[in-house]
Amino acid sequence: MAIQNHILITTFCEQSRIDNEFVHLLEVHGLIKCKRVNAQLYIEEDTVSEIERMFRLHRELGINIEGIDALNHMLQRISQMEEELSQLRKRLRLYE
Amino acid sequence: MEYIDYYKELGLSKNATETDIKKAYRKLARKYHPDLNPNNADAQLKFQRINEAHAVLSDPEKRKKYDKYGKDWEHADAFEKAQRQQTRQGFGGGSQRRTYTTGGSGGFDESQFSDFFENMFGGGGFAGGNPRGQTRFKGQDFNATLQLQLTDILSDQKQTLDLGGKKIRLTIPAGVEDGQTIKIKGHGGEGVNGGPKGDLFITFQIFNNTPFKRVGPDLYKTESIDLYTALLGGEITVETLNGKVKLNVKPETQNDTKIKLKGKGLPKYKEKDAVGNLYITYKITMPMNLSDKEKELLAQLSKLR
Repeated sequence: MAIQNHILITTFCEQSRIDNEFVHLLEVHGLIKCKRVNAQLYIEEDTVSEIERMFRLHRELGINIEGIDALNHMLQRISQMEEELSQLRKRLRLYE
Repeated sequence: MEYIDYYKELGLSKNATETDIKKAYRKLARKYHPDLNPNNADAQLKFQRINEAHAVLSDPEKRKKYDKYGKDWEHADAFEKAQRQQTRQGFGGGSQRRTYTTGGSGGFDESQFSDFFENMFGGGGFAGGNPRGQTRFKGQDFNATLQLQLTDILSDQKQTLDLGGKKIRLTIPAGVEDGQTIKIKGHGGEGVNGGPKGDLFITFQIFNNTPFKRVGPDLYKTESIDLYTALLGGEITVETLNGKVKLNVKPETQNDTKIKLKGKGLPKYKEKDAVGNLYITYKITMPMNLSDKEKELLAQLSKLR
């Protein structure tokens, strides 16, 4: 049964050649959320690029799940700080 | 064409072992990986170069060829001959292009390796560094810039973009920020080996064609008022993005007094019916070229205080 905006994990893993176990670990560590329907696990379509990004970090840089989790937090913080910096720069322009 | 010292790129000497190369590559890849440096073009370029260096130095055959011809780059004739021979025979086999996607900030593939690499090893072969063979990769992300005037973003804008003959209908939400990027999924380059298509990233460049300064959804403007209106109060007319409005200036208004005109700013991005404010700062202009009578009256006035 297909669910709107969701992909069956097994289908995703098959197409992207990402280990099912890796996706499972991401869920166990709370890095992604899966939806269980009729004993089958689905992920949201929007999660796909996130999983691919985390898989690249794992495969290309050898970073484990805990490391990816820590990196996600740091990248999020950097992104927030960059946004803040951009807003502050715009405000500063007002006084120039 | 610039000669690239691959050993230098990885911070190695020419007698580096395979382990040294692997170790140096891993260390630099962790530092410059595009997923860890989003929106950093310098890091992306550096990563591309260390990948290129690794692709050559980790492959004994390629390394041998590089060691032989790379240093004596001036001997172009011998090099060209080797290249022609190599083109006929193929090098590394396969025509797979390797794509790195960078989480929305654009990807790069082997075709973006330097001219030096292309001349040395050809464009298609990439035997090293891809342990999975026919791995599917997402297509390249495309980046585009769309220029708008500030007055264009007062309401949702429907536009049609022409991307190499392919038309994309786009609704630009009102209140979009200068420098903001939106992602249009699946409108980038074709995927590799059946991988998904890349995405299209559109960055907006908003030109301010108004006398207002913009900070997010709020607008700022300085309005001059004469001394007498500031002292005695009065009515002035100010321009807003939605037309002129009349304002009552309170008596004894001080210089740099700021007033807020609620809802006279820009629409808030993707917040239905929410609008920012317009802030007016009063600048009091002093009368010039006073007549004798005015000076006399002002002198009398000053004695009253």
